[in-house]
Amino acid sequence: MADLSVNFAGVYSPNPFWLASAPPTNTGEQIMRAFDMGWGGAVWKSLSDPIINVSSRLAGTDAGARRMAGLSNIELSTDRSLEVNFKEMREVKRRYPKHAVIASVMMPAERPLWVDLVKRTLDTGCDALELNFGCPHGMPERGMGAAIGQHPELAEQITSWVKEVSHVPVLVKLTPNVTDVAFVARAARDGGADALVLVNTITSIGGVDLDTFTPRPSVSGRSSRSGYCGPAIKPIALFQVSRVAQSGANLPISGIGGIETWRDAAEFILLGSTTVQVCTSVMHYGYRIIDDLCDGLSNYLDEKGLPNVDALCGLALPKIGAWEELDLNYKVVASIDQETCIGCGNCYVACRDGGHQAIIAARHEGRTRVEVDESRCVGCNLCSLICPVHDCITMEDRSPDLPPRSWRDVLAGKGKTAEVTDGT
Amino acid sequence: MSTKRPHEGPIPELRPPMAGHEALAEASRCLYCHDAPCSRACPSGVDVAEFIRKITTGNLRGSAVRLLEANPLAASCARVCPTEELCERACVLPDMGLPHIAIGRLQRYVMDKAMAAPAPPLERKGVGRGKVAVVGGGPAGLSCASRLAWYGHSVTVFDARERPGGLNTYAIADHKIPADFPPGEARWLSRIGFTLKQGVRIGADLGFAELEGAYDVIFLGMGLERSVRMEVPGEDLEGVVDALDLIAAHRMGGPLPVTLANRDVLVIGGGNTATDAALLALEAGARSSTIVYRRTEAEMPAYPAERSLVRHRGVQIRFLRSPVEVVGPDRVTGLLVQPMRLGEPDASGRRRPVPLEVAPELLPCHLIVRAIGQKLLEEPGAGIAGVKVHKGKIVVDAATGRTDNPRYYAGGDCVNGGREVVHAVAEGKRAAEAIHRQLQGKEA
Ligand SMILES: Cc1cc2nc3c(=O)[nH]c(=O)nc-3n(C[C@H](O)[C@H](O)[C@H](O)COP(=O)(O)OP(=O)(O)OC[C@H]3O[C@@H](n4cnc5c(N)ncnc54)[C@H](O)[C@@H]3O)c2cc1C
Ligand SMILES: Cc1cc2nc3c(=O)[nH]c(=O)nc-3n(C[C@H](O)[C@H](O)[C@H](O)COP(=O)(O)O)c2cc1C
Repeated sequence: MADLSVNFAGVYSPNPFWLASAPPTNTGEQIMRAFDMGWGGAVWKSLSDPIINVSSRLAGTDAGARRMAGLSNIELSTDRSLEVNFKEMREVKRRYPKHAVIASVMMPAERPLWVDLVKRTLDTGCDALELNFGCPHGMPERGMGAAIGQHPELAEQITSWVKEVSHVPVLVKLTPNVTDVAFVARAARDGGADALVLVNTITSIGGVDLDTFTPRPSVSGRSSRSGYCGPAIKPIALFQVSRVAQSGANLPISGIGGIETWRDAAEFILLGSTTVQVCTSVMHYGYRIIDDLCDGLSNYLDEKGLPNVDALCGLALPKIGAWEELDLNYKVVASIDQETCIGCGNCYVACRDGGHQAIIAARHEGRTRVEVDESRCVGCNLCSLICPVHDCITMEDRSPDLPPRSWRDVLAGKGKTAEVTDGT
Repeated sequence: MSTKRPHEGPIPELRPPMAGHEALAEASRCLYCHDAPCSRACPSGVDVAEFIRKITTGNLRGSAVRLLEANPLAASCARVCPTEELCERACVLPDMGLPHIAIGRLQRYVMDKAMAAPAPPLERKGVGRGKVAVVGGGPAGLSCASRLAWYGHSVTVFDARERPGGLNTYAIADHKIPADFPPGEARWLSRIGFTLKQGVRIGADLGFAELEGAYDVIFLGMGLERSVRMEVPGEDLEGVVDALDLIAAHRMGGPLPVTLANRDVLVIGGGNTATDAALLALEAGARSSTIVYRRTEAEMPAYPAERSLVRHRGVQIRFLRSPVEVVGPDRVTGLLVQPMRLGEPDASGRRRPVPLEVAPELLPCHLIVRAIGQKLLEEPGAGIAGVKVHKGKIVVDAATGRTDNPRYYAGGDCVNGGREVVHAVAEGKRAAEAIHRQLQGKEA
């Protein structure tokens, strides 16, 4: 059985699964219940100056029958008093010494405010601090959250203030709402950050009510920009994590964004995360998903013959590079399994209108029969992505017998590319 | 136009296998309910919502582990459980007008994958040092043995029959489970770490005293092997057979004890054994197959699905008829039955059949199949202090399955009087838990 425990920038955790700072970590009672069910760590709901939250704060994006594939929220930091939070945090840490208890903090860019909050927070015995430089709604207007995370100098400055007074590791939580997250990642590192956490939510409008014309969530007929999270943001978050992993910041990463299953988690780890954090999926299904997160990851590591989570960390990173390094001589074409094809014709329509007109459809014994015209197929994958039948359309390797040739090679006049036949 | 009679051709498999995409699509419909009603409805305590969620995440190994931890015979139960009466009936999707989740078939999908490996994916959970003898290799015995072996105890299962599996092997209908499946499952489970000894009847080939000398604890899972008699004149005439003998012979592929081809067959009883035997008669070429039951359809223990299946296949049912005499002279030519009406409810809560003041009726037939219940072959209590038998069932403590003799536990049909595989499994597991605690020196 693989060892799931991790050491994240000096913070021990029995497994890599942490609850992200959000409603699932609002209270000590919740966090202790989550630990009992198997969560390895929890990042406390962000502590800040007292605020008042609106009622009606969430909006969901469904994908057909699948509810809440994405979630938009306009919730701010904790609306419970700091004293109550501190008391509960102390209690949780005392009762769960082997679990990771991390305090998320955010303040406007003023040194005394940060120093004061950090000192009082550290008094609880928490294992680490997470600086929330990411909240994209409500807080930036007050000079907090993304207002800091979008400015590398500010991020560096504040990180260094916190580092001066903190005896525990300082994690910096980044916002994805920037042109290139690598800049802030390096700035945080320069400020002394011990680890990086990403992503926070992505700026969104959670939909619009077509009857009242009010964007969601509607607060008495008005709305505001929100932070988007949940399964829908996973590919964006995966990129951001990989970007930071390759940014040269060289810090451990806690990956977040749309993690619902152990598979999602494994992908974040393969792209360089040491721990992962979960918010929306717990809001959807409850803490109980930890059972399969741990069990599934452990079985997967066993299957791969890997002894622990570290052994998986970053294995996919060397396979990401610049586009101009990709092999232009690699060629695949679609292949349709006539045995399992049900004749829905969706691949035909997709290829005809959104692809390269490489699928031929004909009536055959009373149903649609589709075939691939390999001379026109560019191997884009589209048909295989929309086919409703599992493994019916596969992409087959048809690479010519030529050495790899990248766009860089083309520019340098090196190598040879196979004749492109587009059937025209 | 087909001119086939309704009962012709083999009965289609009740829960056929699923392909991966089917299983994924079906599992994705599951709502993953809190305190899921399907799990609550499972006598063996399978966490249905969780095993199904693990299908959606692609953690099939974890799904099988979760199933086996609750129910070592998960593969059999996937096929033979009356799911439409248990977990599937509890599903909440029909409350919103959608079909229930096909839980039985999903369970089969997970277990089919798991059984492709040579041994169950269960890692030893303890270092038990006890020695346990299990009498009977049916669902109850195998469940108890699997769990104790999982806890690390040394377990030997003694079974009187040639092949393991109990009634799962010898009695349950072909369209639910092929006869060679349960023995294969038993051998697979034995790789958790227990020994299967077939062809050993405890009490005859080996005494209970000898078992006591060699084992710390003995689990009795011997089922109910003797068919209940009608106790009417003429019952011993040629042409009267026990349903279980008929079905067992058919399951083993051997010659049937009687010829059914072109015969008119009466099956006496109202449970699933009666419906299975009536179907088997038709399959073996009987000219007619009629169930004779002394109450009405509402009181029939056979499940609605079984009742509609037999009707669909062309079995007749005569309600409110109770056998009074088998008519000869040399061999069966008919059955005299007393027309009945329903009176006051009896101990089972069902209305009691009461004879009508009319003359018995003659039902001409060639064969009579007895399917009115099973009882203990012999009372194991003889000579074992503290193992009590009451009304043909071994008496145990409800929380632990322990008899009054602390070295004897029991479970399954021999305790519950004959229910389903899943109940036998649950009772085998209940005993295993208590035995484990006892062997660890903790009070059971
Ligand atoms: C016709 C029929 C159809 C059924 N259909 C279904 C169904 O569709 N679904 C369902 O869930 N259930 C069904 N059942 C019920 C189910 O088969 C039983 O409830 C279940 O098999 C009981 O398990 P058990 O282990 O208690 O006993 P059994 O299955 O009877 O196993 C007992 C075993 O102990 C052995 N044994 C007995 N005495 C000794 C001894 N002294 N020494 C050694 N070995 C001994 C026997 O040979 C036998 O192998 C059906 C039953 C019948 C009769
Ligand atoms: C309702 C809600 C409140 C949140 N509050 C905070 C917060 O206080 N501090 C913070 O750092 N992130 C907060 N987040 C962001 C999450 O911690 C997380 O980064 C984001 O939701 C992406 O993860 P997910 O896709 O698993 O939900 C919040 C998210 C939601 C949905």
